Amino acid sequence: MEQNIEKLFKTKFENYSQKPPSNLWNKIHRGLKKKYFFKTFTIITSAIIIITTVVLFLGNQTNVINKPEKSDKLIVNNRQIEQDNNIANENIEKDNVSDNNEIGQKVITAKSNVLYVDLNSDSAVLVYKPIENKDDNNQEGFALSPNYGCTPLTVRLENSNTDYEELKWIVNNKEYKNTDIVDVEIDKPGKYEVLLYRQDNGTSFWFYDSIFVEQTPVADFEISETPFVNKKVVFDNLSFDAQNYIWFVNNHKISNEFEPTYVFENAGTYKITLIALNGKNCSDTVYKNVSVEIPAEKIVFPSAFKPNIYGSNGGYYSENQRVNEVFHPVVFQDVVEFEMEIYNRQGLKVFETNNINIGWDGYYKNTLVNVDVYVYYAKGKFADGEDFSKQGSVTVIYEK
Amino acid sequence: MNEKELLERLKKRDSTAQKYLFDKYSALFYGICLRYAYTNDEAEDILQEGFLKIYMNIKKYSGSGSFEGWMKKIIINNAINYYHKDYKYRHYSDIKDIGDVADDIEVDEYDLSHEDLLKVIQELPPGYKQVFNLYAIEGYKHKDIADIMEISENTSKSQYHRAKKILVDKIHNLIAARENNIKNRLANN
Repeated sequence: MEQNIEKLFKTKFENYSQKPPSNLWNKIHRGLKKKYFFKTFTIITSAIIIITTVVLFLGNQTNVINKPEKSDKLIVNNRQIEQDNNIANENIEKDNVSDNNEIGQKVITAKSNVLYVDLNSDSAVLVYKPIENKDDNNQEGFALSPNYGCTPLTVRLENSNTDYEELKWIVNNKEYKNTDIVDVEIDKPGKYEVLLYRQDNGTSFWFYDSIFVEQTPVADFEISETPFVNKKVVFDNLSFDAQNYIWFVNNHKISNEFEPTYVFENAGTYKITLIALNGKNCSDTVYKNVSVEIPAEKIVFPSAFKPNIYGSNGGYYSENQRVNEVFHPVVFQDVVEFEMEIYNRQGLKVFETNNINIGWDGYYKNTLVNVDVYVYYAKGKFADGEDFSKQGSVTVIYEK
Repeated sequence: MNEKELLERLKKRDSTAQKYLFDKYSALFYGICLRYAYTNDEAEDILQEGFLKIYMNIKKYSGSGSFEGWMKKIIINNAINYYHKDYKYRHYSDIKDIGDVADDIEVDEYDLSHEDLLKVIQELPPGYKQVFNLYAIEGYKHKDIADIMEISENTSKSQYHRAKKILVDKIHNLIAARENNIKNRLANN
């Protein structure tokens, strides 16, 4: 009966119980006592710290600029953020890709109409009003570019009015004082709020804007064995934080699958490109050159292999399996007759088979052989009737 | 002691009630911790931390939903946070060694013990193990796993897929080794 791997583990482990080591309760009991003590200690300490802070704060309150208060004017840059998910889809349909692909860096430009808000209303609800006097320089806040992008993003903040007595930026709880230009580096996704405080001739203004940053995915893949002409190859996708994938072979799109398979029809060097997209305009591109070879012969024997040191597996192997635990030939045409013998340095026959599907797992009489060079003799017949006879050496490598 | 009384006494930090709770659930929770740990020592550490969290947070249990379920969640979250720093690093050298094998496996005739299977789970690389446990055994959805592990839903899916591949491969090896042992024993007799 075929049993599903999930079912196997679920039934075995759903209610699996195992008695923990016997002295665990004593450890927990001791740990609890310590925790209860520290909890009480922390409460008392925190109370002292809070009281001290409040006292200090009240003493210095006059000179502290924090965040805008109800009586301050707050001018907000109003922009339309177009979270256009179609951009990612558009690119999926693209059939070609250039070397300096910059899908992920596409920046949506802001609409520049500036409205402002005042916080004077009693309910403290933000009310949007149009600018009353456009000529008033004080109402020009700051420029911010870009306001939307992918990690890592550098955003330039530029103060638009240089007549001031005092200037302060607050970005993500960080402060920058009396500087007209600030470059902010953002390497984590999220919404970032920017506040600018400016004081001149006794009037103070607050300006507000925000930045949206999305997580850039990481595109990565691997092809774990040398591809041969007309042999199926799987691309191992190692990408992270992505939702969609586009694969290209020599700049021609071949697939949107997570891990596509591909057959190279000619020998040569191919450029494999993977674009990983997160569906939010961010993407990452990676390409690797792969050389595809024509097998020199219809049957090829590896020169070394690494047996499984935990036990013999009976020489079972699968064509698709990439674990190099069993010594066996790779054939590029069906074999109808096959015989193989393997000898050690002393001339002792350590393995013999007449089944092409069974290779040598590095065990002789159920014992792992020594790390050494062994000699194989193989002969047989291909499906087209041609005979073959091969001999050579194979190195057994492992570390215990 | 019924559950209501137990909860009352736990909230008062009654040590008899605490011991009672430990005796009743420690085996089940240790079974969970073993699956998330690499070694039995680590499992013990995780279990100890988990019980401390249950006792310290007992007042936060609202009473709605099963008490056992609430505790299990704490144990599991704690097991995951224990390794949180590890699975943030995504470069696992052994990824390329995964064979491309079928998802289904014949196991009925081989009586694979808990010990065998536990070892196979424990050996999974960081991240893969948590995702496999949460999805296959705890029955969480990929969306919830993504939230807990702070990864994307897709990463959860791909790690689960890979974890399964590794498990199938390892079980194949286990079975092959066992089959061969039996054959050899028969041959030697």
